Amino acid sequence: MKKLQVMNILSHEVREILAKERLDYALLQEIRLRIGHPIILCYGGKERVQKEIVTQDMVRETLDFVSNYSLYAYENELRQGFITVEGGHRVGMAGQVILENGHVKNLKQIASLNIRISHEILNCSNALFPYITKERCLYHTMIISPPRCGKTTLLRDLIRQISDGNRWVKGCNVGVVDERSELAGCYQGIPQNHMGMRTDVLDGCPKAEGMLMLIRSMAPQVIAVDEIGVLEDVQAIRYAMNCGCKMLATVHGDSVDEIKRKPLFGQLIQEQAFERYVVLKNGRSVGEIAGIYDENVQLIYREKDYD
Amino acid sequence: MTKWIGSILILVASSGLGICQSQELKKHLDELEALQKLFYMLKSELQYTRAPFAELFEKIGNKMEKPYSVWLLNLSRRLREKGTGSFWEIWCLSIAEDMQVLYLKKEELEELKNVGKSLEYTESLELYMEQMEYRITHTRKAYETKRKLYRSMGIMGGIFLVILLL
Repeated sequence: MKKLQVMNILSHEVREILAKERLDYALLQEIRLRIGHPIILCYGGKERVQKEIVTQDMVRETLDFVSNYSLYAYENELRQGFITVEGGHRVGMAGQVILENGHVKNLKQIASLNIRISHEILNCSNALFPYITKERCLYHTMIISPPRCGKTTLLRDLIRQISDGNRWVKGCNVGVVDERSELAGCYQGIPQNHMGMRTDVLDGCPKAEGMLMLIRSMAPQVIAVDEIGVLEDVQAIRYAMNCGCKMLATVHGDSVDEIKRKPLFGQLIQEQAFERYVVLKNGRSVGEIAGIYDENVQLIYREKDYD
Repeated sequence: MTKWIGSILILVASSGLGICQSQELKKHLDELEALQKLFYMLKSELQYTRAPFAELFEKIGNKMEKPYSVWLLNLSRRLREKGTGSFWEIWCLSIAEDMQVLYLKKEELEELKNVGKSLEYTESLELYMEQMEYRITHTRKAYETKRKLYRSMGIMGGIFLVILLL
């Protein structure tokens, strides 16, 4: 399935080259195409440089397939630099930027493509549930993690399990604001990743505005957002909490103390708006839990051998 | 007796020929107007939804009548299949295969092919639609003047032939 989805967006020449490689698509992480340079694969954590050189035609045809021959239809996505395709895989692009009033409007003459294969890890959030729920209800939870430590993957699995329900939490309506199409990996509005049966996704919507829209339209019991970072997001979180929604949010950072020092979040922590803080670290493996803290920032759980 | 029957047959045939000629003009006009309607729909869908071509062609194809529906639905299928060739090549191929049975002139088919080069730009669509408007006005005028001419020429030609032969 994954193989078919990836093959479908590659130019015929690249397909033939990859077919010769006999790849296991569960291990394939990235395919990089740069005009005039060899095709580079990121496979099982290692780089594999192919001998074939990427031509302009290869990139053009791949772009045609990625955008269904309609690059104009993806202007909003191109502004962010990537398009999400069927299966939740992301195609990142680089080329010449078109500016309008000093802001990025679009991309032209695209010369580099990076196809990132989506890998969801089901049940990766199981260990968290005993600490972030009470009487089968979720606490307001903030996930703090440096980049590439699996916070989006963790959040996605939390959403799925909260939405479907498990022994720790009663299944409830979850509203997801997926600003960068990372969580649900929507293709034509339909989530390509498992998001649970009670999940509504607002795809490509700014977080603050999206949270308010969801509260008005879908009456969610839990709202999930990825990578909060600006004042509007924090204000919308306060509003959502006042409306009785449980918040599930992720933020970039190394520790609760670091987040506490940021003026934007410091006050939130002081007010004890969030009841649980989950801190991730990239130690021995991706998505390792460095600690779970309560509303008073007291450690309540730490993975074994982690000191 | 045979002379009379022959004369009537000649008259019927020649006036039929005249009517056929004027009908062809009418069909040409109808086709241009249908194509204009199709491009109006395409333009407004493009501006409003910005959906990919395959989706747009399918949507408009379902609203149009044959042969345009066949053309657009086949085109949409071809785009989804992701075969070889650029968008324009697929566009031209589909015109060559599904739009040949029409009364459109060669240069009109060429214009239709060329608009596929930059279909996503509203300006290019508008330019094409202006050309189309001009062609429609021109064809309508020609139809109105030539319709009567063809019909009377048919009948008059028949009478002339009958007189000549009698």
